[in-house]
Amino acid sequence: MRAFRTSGAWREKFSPQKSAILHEREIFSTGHFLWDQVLGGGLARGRISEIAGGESSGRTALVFSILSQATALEESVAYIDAFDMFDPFFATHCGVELSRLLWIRCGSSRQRSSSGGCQVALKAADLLVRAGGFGVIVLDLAGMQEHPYRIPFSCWWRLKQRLEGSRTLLLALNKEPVTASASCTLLQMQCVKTQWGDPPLKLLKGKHIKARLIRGKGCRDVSFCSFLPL
Amino acid sequence: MFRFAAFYRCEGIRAEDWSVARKISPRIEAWSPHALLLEVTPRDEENLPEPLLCGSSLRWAIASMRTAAYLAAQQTSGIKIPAGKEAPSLADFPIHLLRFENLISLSLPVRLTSEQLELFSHCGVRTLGDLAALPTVALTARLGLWAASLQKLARGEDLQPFQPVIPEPSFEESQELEWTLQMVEPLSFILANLLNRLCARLNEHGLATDRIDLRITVEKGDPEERSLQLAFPTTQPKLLLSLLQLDLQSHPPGNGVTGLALRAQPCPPRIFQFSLLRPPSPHPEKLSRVLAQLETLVGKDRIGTPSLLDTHYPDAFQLHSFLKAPSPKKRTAAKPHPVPKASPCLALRRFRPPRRVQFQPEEVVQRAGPWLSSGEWWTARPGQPGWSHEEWDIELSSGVLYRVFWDHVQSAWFLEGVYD
Repeated sequence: MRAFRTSGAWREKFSPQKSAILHEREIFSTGHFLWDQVLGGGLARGRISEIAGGESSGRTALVFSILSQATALEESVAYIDAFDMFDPFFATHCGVELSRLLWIRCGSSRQRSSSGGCQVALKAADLLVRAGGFGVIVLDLAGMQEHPYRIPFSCWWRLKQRLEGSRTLLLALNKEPVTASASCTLLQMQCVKTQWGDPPLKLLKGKHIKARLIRGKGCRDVSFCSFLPL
Repeated sequence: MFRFAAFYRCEGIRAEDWSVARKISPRIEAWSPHALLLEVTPRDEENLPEPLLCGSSLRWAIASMRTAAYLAAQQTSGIKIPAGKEAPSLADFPIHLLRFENLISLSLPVRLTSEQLELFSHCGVRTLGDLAALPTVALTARLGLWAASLQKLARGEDLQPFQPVIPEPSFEESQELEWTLQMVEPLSFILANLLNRLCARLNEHGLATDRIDLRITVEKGDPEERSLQLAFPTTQPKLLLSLLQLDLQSHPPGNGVTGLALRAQPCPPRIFQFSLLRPPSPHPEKLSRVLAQLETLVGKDRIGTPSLLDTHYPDAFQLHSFLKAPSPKKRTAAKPHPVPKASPCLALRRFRPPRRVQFQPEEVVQRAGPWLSSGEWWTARPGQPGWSHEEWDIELSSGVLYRVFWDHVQSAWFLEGVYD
């Protein structure tokens, strides 16, 4: 019978304890069972998750829902607003507890073609991730309209390294995917159609959107539709 | 070996007497409105002022007992009673030195009134030595228990412990520079030294500070005064230094700096206890430093916790400081885990300020409205006519939903936000 010798590095790489630590990551629920089913339970803490999509695709609605979940669990949250588009009234309407929210207004919506707001927002995100203690940090870069600012990949990689081991969920909100492999979850959203009420009032009822999980723990490359009421 | 020096002035102790006393000894007891008692060493005795004649000037005397020093200072000035010789030294002093008004500050049940003085004088007891020589038992049997205390006072013995006045500690540090500094970086080294000494003194007294006042003396012009208000008490010099550095970087001093002075407002320290059951929150010290850095980055009025205002005006809110701690009286019961809902609700991404737009009729495929809102017309005055909006929800051919409004005051269409 031949005895097999294994090296120390081999044993360490495949040790059951380390495997458990690597695979066991706390999941943060989005607050909606359909979305949690698709995302494999929710979004992973200590990692970057990205939500990309055009205007009226439901990105902000999902972000507010996540923030309401976090504040309901008495966690502190931060909203880094690169173009000053956050609306406290709708956030309250969606269930976000404003007393636990730190709002950082980096730029102005008039500066949507400049990169100043993006740079300030990334610096603010770096500071907050280093400080720690926040359950969710939202990095809202979705206000960019023209000349998308090319964010160096090293910025996202540095944020990813700093988040490792923490319980902070960094949620990046963009028009197009920019985080590449630095994010563990990428959700692409787009609007399908708008539902209006019956005449004569024809009130705005809500929006049908389509979400596709491109990267994540759940079922990958799966599209599903959802209705977002007003 | 400590002894006691008594300062006595007939017309009452003055402020300059206090300053003279503080130069000699830090431990001073306010014996009465006419006398101060100092705890002195043999070396301090050399710094006492020259003995002066009786009158309106300051008199002093030294003894091992405070009562003996006080009685001696009333009678003469410049006398030093050797230790253990208090009773013999006071024996020839008149008994009227033990008048009630002289001993009023002792708060003792001693009642030597004028009538009793006259009685003592009638019985031949005219000096402190005569009173001290009387048999104690017989004296107390006739006059009461207070007579025993009176006899001890006649011998110069103390009836109460020494109770010095403890001055309020001042937490101030300052440094004058040998040459003028123009840059901010060298000031950090000086501030670090000042803060280290300041925080060490605060720790000695078991105190913390929640406010730091910085006074910058400049070469030309008036000194600059700055105040740093903290959200919670601290004694961490590194934290205070980083906050002061951020303040100096954002508002550098105008002219060359010739001196720095720091003053800390003392307050009781606050103990933070994080709960094992609640989720972890940002550490207050680290968070205050980060918020100061963010304020330098984005501006002081663009960071904080929003709160909605009680008005129908759209986008009415105000920002508060994020560092306020939750009040312990407002503890809520344990909340159950939120029940997952079906889907999120549409939200609005607002444009600040609203954009003036012009629409092409073919672009709008669907619309809903109008919803009328107005306000502030009751306080309208020239330049501030109030507001009046006609809001619409529109959908463009691209599928994007916008909220627009017609401003009746400016007579123009504005883009308020986009539904997302």
